[in-house]
Amino acid sequence: MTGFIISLLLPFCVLYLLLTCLFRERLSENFIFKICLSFGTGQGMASAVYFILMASGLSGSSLKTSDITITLIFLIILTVIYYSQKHTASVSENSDILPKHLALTVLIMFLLTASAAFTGYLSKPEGGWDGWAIWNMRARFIFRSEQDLSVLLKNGYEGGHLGYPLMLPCVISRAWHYAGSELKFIPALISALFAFSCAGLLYSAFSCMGKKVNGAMASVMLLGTMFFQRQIQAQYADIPLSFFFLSALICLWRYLQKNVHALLVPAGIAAGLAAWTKNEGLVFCAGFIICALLADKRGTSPFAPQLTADRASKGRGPAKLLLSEADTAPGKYLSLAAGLFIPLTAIVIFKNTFSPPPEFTSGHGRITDLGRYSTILLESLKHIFSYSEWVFFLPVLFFTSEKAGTDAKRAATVCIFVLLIMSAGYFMAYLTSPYDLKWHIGTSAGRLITQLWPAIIFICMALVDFRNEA
Amino acid sequence: MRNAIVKISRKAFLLLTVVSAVQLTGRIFKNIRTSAVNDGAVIYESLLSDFKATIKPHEKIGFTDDRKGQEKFYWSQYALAPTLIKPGTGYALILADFDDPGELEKIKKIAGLKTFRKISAGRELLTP
Repeated sequence: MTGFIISLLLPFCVLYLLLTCLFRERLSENFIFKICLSFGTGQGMASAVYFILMASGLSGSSLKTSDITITLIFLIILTVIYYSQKHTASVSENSDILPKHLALTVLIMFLLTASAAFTGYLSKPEGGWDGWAIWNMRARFIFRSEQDLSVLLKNGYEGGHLGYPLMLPCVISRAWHYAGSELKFIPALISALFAFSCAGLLYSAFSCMGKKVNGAMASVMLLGTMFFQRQIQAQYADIPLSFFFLSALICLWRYLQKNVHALLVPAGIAAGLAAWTKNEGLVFCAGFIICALLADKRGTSPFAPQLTADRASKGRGPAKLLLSEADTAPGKYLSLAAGLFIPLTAIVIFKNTFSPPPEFTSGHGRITDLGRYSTILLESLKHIFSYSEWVFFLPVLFFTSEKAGTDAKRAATVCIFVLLIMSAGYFMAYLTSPYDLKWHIGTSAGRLITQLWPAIIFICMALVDFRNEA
Repeated sequence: MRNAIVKISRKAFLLLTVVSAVQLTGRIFKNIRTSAVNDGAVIYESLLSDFKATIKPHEKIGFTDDRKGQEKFYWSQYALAPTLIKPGTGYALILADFDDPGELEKIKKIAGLKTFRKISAGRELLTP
C-alpha cells in the first residue's frame, strides 16, 4: 500500500513543482488547479517514462530503481529552479464568492458520485467489458510478465487491439509494481481520481478566471452526467482521455488570455498524453498543435491576425514581419515542444516498435458511399441528444447570462476549432469503419461524446458569466 | 423578458440537478443490489486460480468451448494472463469450457483428447 501511495505521490510532486515554477504568481485560486492538473498529467508522464524504460529493456527491480531515480532527478532540478526563482505572493483580483447553496450542491453531487463509484467497484470490481478485456488485461500482461513487453506486444492475445497506446495499462501496472502485488482496487481508484480531477479542473479553471459560480455549475453538470458516471465504473480509458483534452484546452485558453508562454508547457504535456492514451488522442494532438501554433492572442481574429494586419497597414515585407514576431514565437514553439517531448517519444517508440498497422486502413471504398454520411449524421445526432439531460441546458445558457468579452470569444473559437478537428476525425473513423455502421456508432458514440463532454461544458460555461445572477 | 428567462434557467438548472441526484442515488442502490459474485471476470478469476500454477507463465494453450459467445474465452484469458490462450486444439494443453459436461465428453472422444486436470463440471484442462 505504501508503494502504491509513493507511485501516486512522486509524479504528482514533480508536476506540481513544475507548474509552480511555471506559474510564478502565488494565487490561492491556482492551488486547486495545480493539484488537479498535477495528478493526471503526473500519472500520464510517469506512464510514458515507465514505458520508455521498459522498451529500453529494463524490468523488475532495475526498472523500478531507474523510474524512481529519474523522478528524483526531476524533483531535485525543479526544487533548485523553484528556490532560484522570485515568486510573487499576489493578492487575488477576484472578489467573487461562491454562494453557500451552490457550494453545498457541489459537495452533495461529489459525495453521490463518489458513493456511486465505490458501490460500482464493489459490484463490478474488474470494470466494464473494455475496462478489463482491453486496459486491465494489458496491465496484467505487463505486470505478470515482469515488464517483458514482448509477451504482450509481440505475441499478442486474441482481440487485444494491440495498436491502442499504453498510457492506462502502464499507469496501472506501474502502481502494482510499486505496491508489489496486484491490488484489485487500483484500476477503479485511478479511474475515479481522473474523473474527480476533471470536475476539480473545471471548478478551479473558472475560479482562476474569477467565475466561481460558473465553475461550480460546470462541476455539477459533469458529475451529474450519468453516462460519465457509468464510464468511471467501467474503468474505460475515455475518462483519462477526457481529462487530457480538458487540461490541454484550459491551458490553451489561459495562454490565449494571459499571454504567458509557460502555459503551453502543461498544454503540450496534456495534448501529448491524450495521444498516448488512445488513438483518438492522436487526432486531438495534431489538431491542438495546429490551432495552438496558428492561434494569436492579440488581434481581433482568432488565428494569426497580427501578420496580416501589420502587412495591410504598414506595408512591411514578410521578412520584417517574421522578425517582429521573433521575440515571442520561439518561446511559444519551445514551450509546446517541451511539453510534447516525453509523451511523443513514448508514442514514436510504441508505434515503430510494437504497434501493428491501424485497423481501419482498408476503408477507402466506403468514402464514396453517400448513404453512410447520412447514417452517421442521423445516428450521431440521436446519440448526442440522448447522451444526457444536460445537453439541453447548454443552449439555454446563451439566452440567460451576460455574454463573455472578445478575449473569451477568441479563445473559444480556437478551442472549438480543435473540437471540430476531433469531430471530423471521429466522422472519418466511422466512414471507413469495417464494422456494421449502426452497431459501431451505437457501441462507441456515447464514449466519444464522453471524451469531449468536459471540454464542451468548459467552453460553453466560459462564454457566459453568472457572477451577477448567483 | 431577460429576467423571466433567467428565472426559468435557474429552475431548469435546479431541476436537472435534482434529476441527476436522483439518478445517482438510483445507481448507488442498483450497485448495492448487484453482487460481484455474478460478475464473469470475478467468477473465472476464482475458478482458474488453483489451476494457474499448473501452466508456465509464457506458455500458449489451446481453448475450446460450446461457442455460446466470446465471454468464456476472454474471461479465461483475463484470469490466466500472461499465458496466451489461442482458439483451437492443436496445443500441448487445451482449456475446455462447456456448460454441458456431456458435450465435453463427446468432444474429447471426437478429437482424441484426455483429461489432464479437472477444474469443475464441464471445465477441464485437456491434453492430446
